[in-house]
Amino acid sequence: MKRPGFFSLVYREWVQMRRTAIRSMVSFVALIILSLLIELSLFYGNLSRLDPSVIDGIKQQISGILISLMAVVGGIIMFSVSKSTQCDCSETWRMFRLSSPVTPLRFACAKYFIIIIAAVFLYGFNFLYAYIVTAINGTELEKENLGIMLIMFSAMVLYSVLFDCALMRFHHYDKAGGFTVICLFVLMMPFMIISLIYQDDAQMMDKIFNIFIDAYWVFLFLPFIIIGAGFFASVQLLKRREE
Amino acid sequence: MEDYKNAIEIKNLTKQYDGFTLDNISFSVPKGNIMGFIGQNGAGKSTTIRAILNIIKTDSGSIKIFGKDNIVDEYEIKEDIAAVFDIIPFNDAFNAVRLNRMFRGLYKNWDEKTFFSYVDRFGLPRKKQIKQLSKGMKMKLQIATALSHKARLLIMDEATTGLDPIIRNEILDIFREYIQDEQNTILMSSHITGDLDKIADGVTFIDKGKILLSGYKDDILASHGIVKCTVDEYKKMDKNDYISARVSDFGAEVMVSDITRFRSKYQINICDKADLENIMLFYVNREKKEWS
Repeated sequence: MKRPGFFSLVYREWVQMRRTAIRSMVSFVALIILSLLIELSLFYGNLSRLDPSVIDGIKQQISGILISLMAVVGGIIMFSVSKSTQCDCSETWRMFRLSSPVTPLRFACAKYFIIIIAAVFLYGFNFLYAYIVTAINGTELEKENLGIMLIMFSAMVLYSVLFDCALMRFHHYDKAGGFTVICLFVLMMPFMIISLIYQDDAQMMDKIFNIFIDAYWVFLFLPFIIIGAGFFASVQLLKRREE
Repeated sequence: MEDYKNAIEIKNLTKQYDGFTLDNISFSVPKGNIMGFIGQNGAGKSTTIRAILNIIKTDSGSIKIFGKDNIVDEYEIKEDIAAVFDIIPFNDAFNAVRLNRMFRGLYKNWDEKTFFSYVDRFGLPRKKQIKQLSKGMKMKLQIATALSHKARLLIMDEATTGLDPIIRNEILDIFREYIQDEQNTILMSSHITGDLDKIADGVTFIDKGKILLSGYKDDILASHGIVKCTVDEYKKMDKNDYISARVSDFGAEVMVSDITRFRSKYQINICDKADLENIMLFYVNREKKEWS
């Protein structure tokens, strides 16, 4: 018997997120063009006329800014992928899904397949971009840049997965958004409290920041752990029947 | 799986909500029939359909589809069911070609040829996105998808509501064809009793979570009638002999459920045939007994 579902559902996700994907590609290309213009200016334009010692500092700073900017764009795209599934909260789609022969496991597989593909693509692209930018500038890929990139990315993956699960639970876009923001706020609370306590102690703040940056390798795996947890939660949520 | 008499068999189904109870309902939909499922808003039609499709948890009772339990054999049964809702459930970015690509993986019996033959027959553009289609076209597209995976049971939840009479007639013709091989069955919930008058073999009438009538439409229509009489004649009638009465200054219209028995008891000859709309109207007012 032909097993129904998986690729059809992946195709469905693709049709729904096609616009987002195109917009994402445009943002990427725009950022790459911007990077190229800055680099050209650094090597041949106005910025190249500055004192060589100043240029070295600028190169280091620009690498950091561009890498962080790309991480933010990557994060936003990750969020957009999740946002494109908002039509899943429509009552009639839910009715159709539950009246079709496709199991909750297959629905969750298709959804998370797309999330994994997006995560791997954005991850890979961000690393490649960071590598190229630093190579062009002749600078090192610093731990701070890498840390910020990974933390930003983990936060966006967490947001996407939480939003997706909330959508499956509440079937309502605004409720799901509210729930996700509250969850993230609760998760951020300890960090906000710490930063409030030590706001006047710059040394302590630096120390705390460095603890996170030093543990950047944790954030290398964290998005995939979040995705895994989200997948299992989604299967359970999709199995639920209205009371 | 072919060895079943009723496509749907519901026994003692109960579902309690805050302020509404689907109260121990039982009815069946014979194989090869079109069953009209009528009742006013909030009567329990959609709840019953959701229970049949196992979209909601029920409190008690059993539902069999093609002779199989709707929960135990859920995914096997759903290969042979098509559900059509009042709003198209697909994203606006889809068109007929994209829907075909999606559906051919969702249902093992998906028939691309049949789908595009319906698309062409309905005059639907293949590449126009759903957001660009009119309500009638969206409904036709949904029906085309529903009829293209060789489903043996078509469940329609208020699907023809809001469509103009011409489109509704086209759709009814398709249903007549669909039912012709006597293996396929339709459960059609609708407010538009005129459509059911035209095509339904059977009717199930639900009100306030209770089944009031269920059976062959012709039997129901033959046994029911609207007796026209004066107010004085009406006042002499036993309240147990009629469903309810519409009383005005000009006389009374009394709905009776057994016209033969009523005629022999009251010797009244002016009696109109009842249609489904009137039956619904008089039954809904059964508790008041007299209304205007």
